[in-house]
Order: sequence, then structure tokens, then C-alpha cells
Amino acid sequence: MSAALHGRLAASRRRRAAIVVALGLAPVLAVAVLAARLGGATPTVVVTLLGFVAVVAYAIAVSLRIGLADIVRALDAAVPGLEDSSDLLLAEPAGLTGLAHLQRERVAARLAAARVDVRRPWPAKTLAATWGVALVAAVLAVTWPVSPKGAVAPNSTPSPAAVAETGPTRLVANTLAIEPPAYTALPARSEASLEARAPQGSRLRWSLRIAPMPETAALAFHDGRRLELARDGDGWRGETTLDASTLYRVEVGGIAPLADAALNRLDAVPDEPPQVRVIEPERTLSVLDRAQPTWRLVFEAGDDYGLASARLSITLAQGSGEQVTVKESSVVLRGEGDARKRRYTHALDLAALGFAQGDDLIVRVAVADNRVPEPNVTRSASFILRWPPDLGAEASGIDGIVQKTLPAYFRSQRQIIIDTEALLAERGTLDEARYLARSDAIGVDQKILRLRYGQFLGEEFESGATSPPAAAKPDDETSNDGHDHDEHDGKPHAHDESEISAASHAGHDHGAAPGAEAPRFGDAAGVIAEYGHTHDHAEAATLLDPETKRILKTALDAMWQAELQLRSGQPREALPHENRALTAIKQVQQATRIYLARVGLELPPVDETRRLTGERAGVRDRRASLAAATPSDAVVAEVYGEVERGGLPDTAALEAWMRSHPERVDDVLGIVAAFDALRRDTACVDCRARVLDRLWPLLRAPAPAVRLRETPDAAGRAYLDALGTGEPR
Amino acid sequence: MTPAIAIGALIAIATLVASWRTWRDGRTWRVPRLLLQPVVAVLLVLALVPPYLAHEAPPLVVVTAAADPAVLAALPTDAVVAAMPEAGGETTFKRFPDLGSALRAHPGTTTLRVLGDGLAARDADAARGLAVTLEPGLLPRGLVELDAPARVEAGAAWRLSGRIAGLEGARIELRDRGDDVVGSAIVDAEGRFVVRARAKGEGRDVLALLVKDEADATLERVPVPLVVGSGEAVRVGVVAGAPDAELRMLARWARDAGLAWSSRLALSRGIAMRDGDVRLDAEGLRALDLLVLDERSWAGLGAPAKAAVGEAVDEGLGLLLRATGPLPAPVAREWATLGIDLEAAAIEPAVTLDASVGGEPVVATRRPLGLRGETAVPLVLAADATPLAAWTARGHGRVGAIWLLDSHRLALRGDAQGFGAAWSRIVATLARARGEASLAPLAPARVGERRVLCGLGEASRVTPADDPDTAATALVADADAQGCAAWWPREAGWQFVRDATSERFVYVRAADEAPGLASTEAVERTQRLAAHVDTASIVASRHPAPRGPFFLAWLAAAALLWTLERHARPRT
Repeated sequence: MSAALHGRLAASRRRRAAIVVALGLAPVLAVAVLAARLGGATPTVVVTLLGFVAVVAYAIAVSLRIGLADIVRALDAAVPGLEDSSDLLLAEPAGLTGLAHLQRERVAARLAAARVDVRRPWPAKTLAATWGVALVAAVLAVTWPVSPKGAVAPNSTPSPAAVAETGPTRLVANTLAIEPPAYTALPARSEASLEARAPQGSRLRWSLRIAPMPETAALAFHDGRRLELARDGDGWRGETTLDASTLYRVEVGGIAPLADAALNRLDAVPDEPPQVRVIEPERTLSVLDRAQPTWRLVFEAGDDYGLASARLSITLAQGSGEQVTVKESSVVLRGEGDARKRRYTHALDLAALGFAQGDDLIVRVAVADNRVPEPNVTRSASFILRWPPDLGAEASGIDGIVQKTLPAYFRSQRQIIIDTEALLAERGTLDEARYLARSDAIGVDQKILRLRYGQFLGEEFESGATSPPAAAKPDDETSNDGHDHDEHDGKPHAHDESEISAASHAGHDHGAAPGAEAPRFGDAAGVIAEYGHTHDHAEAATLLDPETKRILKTALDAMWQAELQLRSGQPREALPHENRALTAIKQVQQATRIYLARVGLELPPVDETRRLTGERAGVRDRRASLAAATPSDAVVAEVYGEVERGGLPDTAALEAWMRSHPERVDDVLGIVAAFDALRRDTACVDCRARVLDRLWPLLRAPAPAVRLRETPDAAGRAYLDALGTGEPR
Repeated sequence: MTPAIAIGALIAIATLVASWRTWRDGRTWRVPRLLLQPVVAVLLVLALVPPYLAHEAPPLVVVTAAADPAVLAALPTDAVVAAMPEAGGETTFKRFPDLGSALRAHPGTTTLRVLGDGLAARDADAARGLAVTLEPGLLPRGLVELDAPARVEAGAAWRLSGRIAGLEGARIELRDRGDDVVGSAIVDAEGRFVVRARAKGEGRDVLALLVKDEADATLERVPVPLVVGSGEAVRVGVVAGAPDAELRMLARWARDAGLAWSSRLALSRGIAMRDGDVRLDAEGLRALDLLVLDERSWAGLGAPAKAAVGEAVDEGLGLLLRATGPLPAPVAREWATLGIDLEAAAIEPAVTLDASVGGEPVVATRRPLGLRGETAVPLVLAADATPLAAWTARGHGRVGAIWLLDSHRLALRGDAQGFGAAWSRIVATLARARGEASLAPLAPARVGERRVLCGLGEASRVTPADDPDTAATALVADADAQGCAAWWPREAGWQFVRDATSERFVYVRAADEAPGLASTEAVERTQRLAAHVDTASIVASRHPAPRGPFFLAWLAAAALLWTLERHARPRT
């Protein structure tokens, strides 16, 4: 009998252990899945094994707790026919007395007949719950989204490089060494940023470290150039010369592009040409009136990096009129001061140059700076030193020259006076014939002078001296006779022209002089008819105003008197006339203005009936349309409009326009950089606003447009109609 | 049947039943128990449905932004004060999130005494029906008034005016988006300024108004929104007696500005320089918006043409009469019947225009004419305010006359924009009114403040104009209220309001932008509330009496009744 009980015990124990294992495996599974998700393979295996072992050990321990007494109790509870006496089966049969033994037999028989299972039943609900929870936990553990910290998630795509570390590509360290050109004497420096501002022509050296290490690295400039960087250990190096401002970015090959792909800007600061300031002379044109030994010149020059040589070019122009000779030379100036600012002082020796009266001296300084390939040269303005010539030496003709010759006449009259006085002073030492000859010569000069002045009054002038008085005797006498107004002044001037023209015809080669009948006195028409032509009309002498003409006539009168006296060998009597002529000429010279007759433009009023008449056969209506202006910056307006609407236009046309209109655009690189930023991130509102801000100054204001007034509504129309009815038509 | 009556009825029935049973149960203490029943019942009813009491609450002092600290310190200690969130930080009064909660905390308030800038927009509705008095506090410093057009035409000249408070010797600069100075002005003694500027191309522009002090430091920067729209193709017809430099410059401007220009300039009898065609009959005149004639071409018109012109003006055509030479008497008479009465005046032909180029005023020529009568409106004024052009209305149209001969000198001196702007104003004033009624330009809104947009149809949405991909805010337009919808802007900048048929732009200011303008708006809003109050409609509020005392009384009475009931012995 105990065999059956033992059998039941074993079965019971097995069942119990199985239940425990079944219940315990669920959490173990869940933990294992979690370990697999969080850790790797090793933790999973470890956790599974440990869990399994723990569960099995616990199951065995729990199952061993069940003993025979539990079985017997269970049997008694399960089978009522056993009458709670199954524990008799545990006892030895020999030790039992009669009733117990009987009862034992009976119980054994009933037990054998009973079909009962005392094993603990499977706890279905608990099992289902546990396994359900475990499955849910496992599923959650599998499908929980991966946090972006680089955890290995089952559904994340691996990076192409498949390296253990996959951070974003970035510049770990970068140095930019700038070496300005040697002549600037600026120190070499190194910047930690990729942007720099350096003098033009500087040498730039990049040294970059990129993580992770790319296969190739290069600098891509905005105009398409590329500078390949050379690998140097774990860094990259490259160098170039900065000629113009550019934008660039670092491009890598073989890995993902740089996270920060903004364009970096390099500004090339050009070398400014030197500035020259002339301190002395203050004016561009300096006029001398007397000889000067030297001419002092003082300049000041400044440059941003350093000055080189200063050269003074000297040009001397001598002569006047058609014969001007030019001599050029140059002098290197030495100044005092430092390389950036110098002051040059030079005193030109005018005598050594050969500067005389009537010459012009032009100086100009050219200052160069110390730029290396070719220096910038600044030239200053030209400064002129002029010594005006003596105008008295001019004996040029007076044809057409109105202003200048008056002083010369002034001087000639004075010369005549001087000559006359000299002759009078020498009267005692000269003999009669010579005295007369000299007096006559002075008289001829006076006559020439008189004729020159007479030209202003419409008289004729002949160049060349007239024949000596002996040959012109008949004319002389005629003139003597005709000019009997020695005795009386105040003769009307009307005679002047006929007599003077008669006298002036004295030297004229008409060929009719000998044998001509003596012209009657005062017959102007006869004179004209006799000589066959007139040379001038008095009315045409409109150059002078009447007052000046009167004074000039007085002078001519006096000159005529003087000439008369001189020609007849009476210089002493001629002298007061000469002086009178001089004062009158001086007065004429005061009248410096030449008045031209001004006729007021008084047009008659337009006669409408005569207007617009004329030959109009074949004349048609004309088409007069103005062509629409094609704005040269239409491309800017287009690009602006498209960016404002939210699109991204192609900037090739805009860049071409900016290159051909450099004066309209301040900062081409800024616009290129703004467009590049917008292209990289089209959704960035700030980038778009910055592009629009930069394009705005390039737009031209359009012609002011007109907006129509709004159509009046019914109330407005009724109001206007009511207003209109009261008005008279 | 209100709950109060129902409760009262129930309790009354129960009391009656209980009283009957008390009377009939034959125990001692009958009378006291009987008397206590109604007492307990009444007290129970009162505890459940307490009566209303009317009471007068003291005026509520509302402290808003920029309240004067002196006034705050002088408030009596028993004053009922509520501080709004925008009040300064150092106030020690009880803070409420808005006026509504303050009014609920102090029920029965009928008068408000507002200290400071005034009520914010969110409190305007809560203050309706109350008597409001405003005591403005510290004056704001900076820009307090700004008057700018919301929409101008491309290339047009416009002006902006405003007022600065609390600053001496300030200077105003108006900069466009490219940071160039577009206009500047000096602030006068009262703080007012006027800035003139020229608009550039089409689009939305946000200009910056900088307030600078004497040391040229920027004190305040206020964005000024401006929508620059394109002009319209106005149809202008010119019939002139002779070609003129002025007409040539006008034709150039008109072509550049997109106007439809047609002209007939007489060269000789029957021969003219034509550009397009101008027919002076009813059909041809109906196809024009503005007709330009001068006295020579008028003299050459026949009677039917003149009658046609007069009728067309009555229908709405605009007519501009140029006096280019001596005005014959019959022409002057006919023009007087049209409405422009010109007479010869003894004035100098040389006149200084109200414009200067390069710092020097421009001198032009005019005919020696003057206006007779007071009916005409001056259109162009010289520098000394004498009129050089005038207009008057006739029927549905307008008739104008100009006797300035060479306004093109402005263009010759280099200011072609000024020439165009002056003539665009003349043409816009006189041309036929056939433009579409546009939606009125909207004043700028502010972030967080409620704004009502009207004239919207169905499916109206608001999106930020610069970022059209953002989710749109849908507006619910009330068709019964002129299609108005309420909107709380969340983002600053240009917003695009669109519905099925129309689109508009509204500019939204950030919450801390232009504080002076915000405080001026608040002061005006509160003063409008204060002025509109109607004392008759103020209802003295009432509130229910507290239940506590009634409940305690009922408890005491019920306890007494219960004691009596318990100690009541049967009568023997």
C-alpha cells in the first residue's frame, strides 16, 4: 500500500515542481528579453541561465516540502469513503490491532478502487496572468523606441562607414596662420576661426583636424575654385595667397559632410595708394611780378604701410606765342619723417633753372608706396609759377585785338614825349639838319600812332611808314592847307574824316596821286569820287561809346597838332599837344568796357491766323510713342519677388549682373553668403529675411504709380447727383 | 417651479404633518413642541435657500501699468485695491489675474477707479456696465502716437506723423529694411514730428522708426509696417495744341508708371503727332479716365465735342485744363461754366515750387492767373502757398486746371521721382473713380490681445506670411455680425489672412514692442469706457446671505426640539 502512496507522493511532487517552473519561467523570459534589449548577448545568456537555475532549484525545494502526511490528508479530504483513516495506511500492518487492521484493509481496498487525483491542479488563471504579463513585458522591451544617444536599436540604419563611433562630422581644431606680405611690416598672426581679414597678397595657411577622419578634404571657394588639403598626421594642411575677398567652406570626402556648412569669409584689404597734400604753394597758379631767387615747395605724404620714393617733375616753358620751348627735368625728393608719414621740403633754384621773365614753371610731385609687385603711385596736382612777360615789349599788330593794345599805345605816346624832350635837351649839340631829321622821325611816329588810334573811329590804317615829307610835298601842303585849323580850335569835327582820309591816302598806292587836281577843301564826296573807293564808314565804329569816341577824337586832334609841329621842326611847340594827347589817351584807357549794341529781343505777338500755315502737301500725321524703358536691373526685381514669395531662384543671372555693375553693389560676398545660407535651409525664415534685406538696396524705386479712387456706392452716387442738380449748366 | 418653492413646499407639508402628529400624540411639552416646529422648518428653509441681500460695495481701485507711486502711497488703508498683472512689480496690493476675477472676489462693485495706463484689452468686457474713472499715471517716455498709412502705391511719396513724449530734442529716423535712412525729422516743441518718405517697389516692407536723442543714441526702435501696392492702368488722353516739353516728360512718367497714355498733339491744321487715338465723342470719352486739354485745343474743339466733354464729365470723367498761354476770353468763359473760373492776376511768372533738389529750391514758371471764387480746391501749391492748380467737382466727375507751365524742371534738376509723385497725385485726384472697393487697411494688432477681423467669409485662415508651411489658425466668422471673427495672434510679424475670396495682410506687434503706443491705446480704451458708461443701467448687485448662521440656528432649534421630544412623557 505504501507503494501507491509513494507513487502518489512522487506524482504530487512532480506536479508541484512543474507548476512552479511554469510560473517562474515567465518572468525569467521577460527579464531575458529585457537583458537582450539593453545589454548584449552575454548578459542575456547569463540572466537566462541564472534564472532557469533559480527557478528549478526553487521548484525542487518547494516540491520536497510535500510529505506523505500531506498526501494522506489530501486523500482523506478527497475521498469520503476513506472515512478519514488513510493514515492507517502509513502504519505497519503488523502493528495494528483488529479494528484498525480491518479498517486498514477496508481503506486500502477503497483507495485502490478510488480513482482520485490528489495532485495540485494547474492554476490556469495564475498561469495565464503571469504569462500574459511576461509576454507583454517582452513585447514592450522589444519594441520600445530607441533613445538617440547612440544606443543600438534593432531598426536603426547603420552609417555607411560602419565604424564603432558615429558622431556628426565636425572640426575639432582649426588654425589659420596669416602671413602678411613682407613690405607691410605687419606681424604674422594665427587665428582660431576660419574667417579672417588680411592685407591683399597675404599668405594663408590652414591647419584643420576633422573628426571622424575623412578620406579627402578640400576648401571649396564660392567662385568654383578648390584647394585640396594635404594630410599631415591626423590633421590637414593647405595654403594659398589671398588676392581678393572670397567665401569658402570645408568639404570632406568619404564621410558625411560637415555639420556646420556655413560659408566663411576672407576679406582682402587692398593696399591704399599714398595720399599727398601740398602745403606750399597754396594756390595752383602763383604769379610773380619781380625776380625771385628760389621757389619753396612743401609736401606731405602719408601711406598705410610705407612710402617709397617721391619724385618732383619740373617743366620749364620759355618763350611765348609760337616759339615756346619746354624743358623737363625731375628731382628725387628726400623727406623727413617715418615710413608712414613724410614731409618733403624743396627750394627750387630759379636762377639755376634759367627762369626768366615770361616763363612758366610747372611742378608736380609723384609719391610711390612700397607695395611689392608694383607700387601705387599718386600724383599731385600741377603747380604753376608764372612770371608774366613785359607787355611793353609786344609790338604785335593790333588787328582785332581790342584790350591789350591800349597800354602799348599809352606807352608809345609816352615814348614820343620822352623822345621829344630828349631831342629838346640835345638841341644845342645837334646841327640843324639832324635836328630836323630827328624831329621829323618823331613826327612820323606820332602820325603812325595817330592812325592806329584813328582806326577806332572808323578810319583806315595802313601798316608801314609813309614816305618822307619831301616826296609827299603836294599832299603835305594839301594837308597843311586843309588843316588850317591850327589857328582855330573848335573846328567842327566833320572835317576830320575827309581830311584825315585824304592824308591817309597819302601813302596809298593808288597811282593817281601825281597830276590829280587838287581836291577842294571840305568836299568829302569829291574826295571819295576822286579816289574811287571808300575804305570805311564811320557808322560802323560802334565799338566805343560816344563819350569815349569824343575823348579819342580830342586825342587825335592833339596828336595831329603835335605831328604838325614835329614835322615842321618845332618840337617845343609839339610838346604841349603831345601831353594833351597823352592825358586823353589815358582817359580812353580808363574806359575799359567795349559796349556792343544790344538789341532787346522783342518778338511780335504770335499771329494765330498765320501760324501753322505753309506747304503741307505730303505731310502726314506722325507717330509719337515713347518706347517703354527697359530697366537694367530687372533681374534684381525678379529675384527679389521670387524670394519674397517663398521660392528659391537661380542666382546665376543675379551674380552676372552684380559683376557687371560693381558700383551698385556694396557687398557682393554678403549677398552670395546669404543666398547660400538660404539654399542650405529653405525653411529658415531668418535666412530669407536676411536675403531680402541685402537685396533691398539694389532695387530702384519705380516710377510713382497711380491708384484709382473707389467707385462711389449708391449713397455716394445719390449725393453727387443731388449736388449736381443745383449747378447752372 | 423654482427649487426654492419646491423645497419650501416640501418642508411646509412635513411641518404640517409633524405639527398634527405633535398635537395628537398626547404627550407632555405639547405647546413648546408645537411652537418649535414652524421655527425649525423656517430655519431649515432659510439655511437651504438663503435670501438675497443688496449691499453697496466700496469702489474698487484697480492698479494697472505705470500707476503713479505717489497716488498709490496716498490710498487710504481701507480701500479695496486689486492689482492687475501688468502693474509694476513693487506693488504690495493683492494681485488678480484679470479684472473679472477681481470683480468676483469683490461682488457688488459698481464703480471702478483705475490708476495708471488703463484697462488692458482683456478687461474691457468685464468693465462694461460699471462706472469707470481713469487717473492716468506716469507719462510714457518715447513714441506715444503713430499715424502711418497702411498701404501706399509703388514709388509714391507718403508721410508719417506721430508724437514723442518725455524727450527733449529728439530726432526721428526712418530706415528701410536695407538699413538706409529713408527720411528723418526733428521733433518740435510739442513732441510732434512728420517724416516724408518715398515708397520703393511692391511688397510688404517693415520700416524701422528710430527715436534718437541729442547724443545720437537710439532710444527706441519701433517697426512700422507698410504694404506697397502696385498702381493701376489709368487711361489718360491728351489733346494739345502743340507739343511741349511738359507733355513729353509726362508721357515718359506715364509710360514708366504703367498708365495707358494716348495723345494727339496738333502740329498744323489737320496734322498731329499721335500716340494712340483720342476721340472726343461719347464712346471715346467713356474709354478714358482723364482727359487733358489746353486752351488752344479747347478753342479748336467744335461745339459737339465740347458738349460731349461736358456730358462725359458729368458721367464721371476727369478733365484737366492746362493754361499754357494767354487765355482768350471765350475760352475762359467756357471754362468758368465747367467750374473753373480763372482770371488774370498781376503776379510774377517765376514761382518757387514746394520742392527742393540738392538743398536748392526749384524755380518754375506759371501763367499770371488766379482763381476767382472759393469753390475750387487747390491741388498744387507753390512754396508761398499760392495755388498753381485747382479742381472742383462737377456731376460725377472732376474738373481741374493747372497753370504751372514747367513742372518738368523738377525732373530736369534730377528729381524725377518727385515729378512723378506730384503728377500721380494730380491724376489720382482727378481721374474717374472706378477702383474696386478694397478692404480697409488694418491697424497693427498685438500678440496676446484680442483682435476682431471683419469682412471674412467661410474657411478663413491665418498663417504667418513668411512661413506659409506653418499650421494655419482657423477663424470662425460670424455671418450674422458682418463676417467678423475674433483672433488672438500668437506670433509677431506679418500674418496672412485668407478666406475663399479675399486675402489681406495684418501686421502683429510683439508684446513688448512700442510700449508707448500700447499705453496710449490702453488710456484711450479706458477713457472710451469711462465716457460710455450709462449710470441708469448699473444694477446694484445682490448676493445671498451666508447660510452658516441659519444652519447653526436651525441646529440649535432642532436640538432643542429633539430634547423636548425625547423628554416628553405620555400624558397621564
